[in-house]
Amino acid sequence: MYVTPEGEKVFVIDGHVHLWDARPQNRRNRYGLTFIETFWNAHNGLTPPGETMKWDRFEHLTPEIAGKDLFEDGYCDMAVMLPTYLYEFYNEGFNTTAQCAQLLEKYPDRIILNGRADPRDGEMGLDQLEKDHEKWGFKGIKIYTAEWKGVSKGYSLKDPFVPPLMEKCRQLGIKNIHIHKGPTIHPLNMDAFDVRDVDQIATEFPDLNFVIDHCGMPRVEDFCWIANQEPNVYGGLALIPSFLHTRPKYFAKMMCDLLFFVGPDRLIFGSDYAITRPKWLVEKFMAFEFDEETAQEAGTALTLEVKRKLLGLNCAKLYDIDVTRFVGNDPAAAGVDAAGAAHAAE
Amino acid sequence: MPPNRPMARTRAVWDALGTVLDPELDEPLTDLGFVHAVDVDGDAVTVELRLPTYWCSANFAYIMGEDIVAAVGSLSWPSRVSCRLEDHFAARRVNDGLAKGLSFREAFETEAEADLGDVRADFRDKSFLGRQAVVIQAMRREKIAPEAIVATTIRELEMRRRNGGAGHARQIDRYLEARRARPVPCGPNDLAFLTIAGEPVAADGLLDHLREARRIRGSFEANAELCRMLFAARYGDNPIPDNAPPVRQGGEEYIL
Repeated sequence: MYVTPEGEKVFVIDGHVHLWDARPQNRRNRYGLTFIETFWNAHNGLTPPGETMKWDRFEHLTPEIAGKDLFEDGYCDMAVMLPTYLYEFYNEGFNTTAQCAQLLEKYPDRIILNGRADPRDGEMGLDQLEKDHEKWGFKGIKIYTAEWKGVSKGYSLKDPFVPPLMEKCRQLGIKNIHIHKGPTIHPLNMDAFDVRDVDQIATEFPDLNFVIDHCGMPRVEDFCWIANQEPNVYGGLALIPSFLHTRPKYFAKMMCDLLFFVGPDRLIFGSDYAITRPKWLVEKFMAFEFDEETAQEAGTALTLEVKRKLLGLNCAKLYDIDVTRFVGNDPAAAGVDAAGAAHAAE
Repeated sequence: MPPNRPMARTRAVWDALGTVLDPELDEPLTDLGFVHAVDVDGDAVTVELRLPTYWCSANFAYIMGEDIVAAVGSLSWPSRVSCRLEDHFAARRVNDGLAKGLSFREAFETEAEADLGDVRADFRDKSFLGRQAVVIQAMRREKIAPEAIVATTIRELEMRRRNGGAGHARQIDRYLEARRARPVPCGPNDLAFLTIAGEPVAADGLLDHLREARRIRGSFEANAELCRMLFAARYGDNPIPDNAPPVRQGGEEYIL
């Protein structure tokens, strides 16, 4: 919980969290080194100097470290964990569901553990998802279209093996699909970060929600367009607020476009932990205001109401979280207007 | 007279490299710091290219490599131009392909289904609109009416440029360059500002058009900033501690 200087409560969910192990003994090959190296560079490039982590801590995140960063120091009431396996790069996986579950065990009321699936695994993958779901009870899964798998170096959401996975999610009652568009390598002649395939799957499965990590960055412009058309497409903000420290002007520009095209109800805060940590992000985001021209362009100022939605309430809706459990009887902080609260009380 | 002193030649190569743009950032590689070194040995030129991450897209790297070879090759004196991409997952393939003068599809025959024409065209469109946004925005700040902005001809824009461009001379140059490359007439009396489809922009649709263009412009700029940050971190003060054990298998270079 973040509390403003005026005493207003702001419920916070970090919508994008990992618990990874990139220690040398877990790296399968040089890719394992260069993958974490890119994260480390992003961490150092984006994080204010006093808030950076030491390498040995960054390289292997334990539940103790993450719990402190998120819940003790980082204002988070809850966090959504998004597993990424990368067995091609890491012997025991980079950030598996089982690894992430360690944090769930430590904080059962505060962690939303998502599953992971790879549609290229076919039937076997669907069975595994079902087993994992029986064990952990997911409301969402993460898919990473750029993950390498044998001779395959990534896939598109237009590939014919993708809809069966969506059908399976539907059947299991998993309604939130987080999609990370990394640099897909196949087909290599196409724009590797193309997000336009999201359009098709979102239309085909209108009852599922598609959360696009990093708002499709580096294709924020295309993401804005798609999310504008598709009511079930959400923007995972992770990475965008990280511009708050080094490049606040660009943060303002991106937020302006996102608020105009996607609107304040479909954007979800995330730190991409541990690319960076939520503490400084939440503080800087709460302190950030649009100038008048930007607010006009965006169609809204960054009001307390908008900030509450982005920082926690939008995500709470996706995951059916009872926010009053954290904020108590405070309709504004819980995101219900007086009429809604009265209706709920009836 | 072609320059023959090594210093002058090196300078000429850097000038030529200043015209090569990162396709998705629409900025010169030299401004981004991606050209690590230029080596001129007699008539032979080697350009070393470094990117912000090990995982930057191979197709964009290939576009940059092709454009480097073409730009330096357009000088009168080099007998051989080689581009060497460093610290990248597809470095060997990119460098081999460029050295042999292969098309992208030939260099990556198992992964690529076509050459890079479509992706180049896509980014040319975006760059056209993005550059246009900057010029239009500058005109709007001067309180020029929408009707006058959309009716601006090429000649008028060139005049504006000659009169100093109100502080936006370089932006006008960059836009005019992109405008001339469009597959539509570009005479003095043709409209300066067109949509991607080559249509005029309606005065009452200018704000929507501009929002569209700025959405693209904003992405270019933010992506470029992210790349600068990653690049600075990668080649700056916080390198990853070198505690990795010897590589057990694979991963030396992307091999299929």
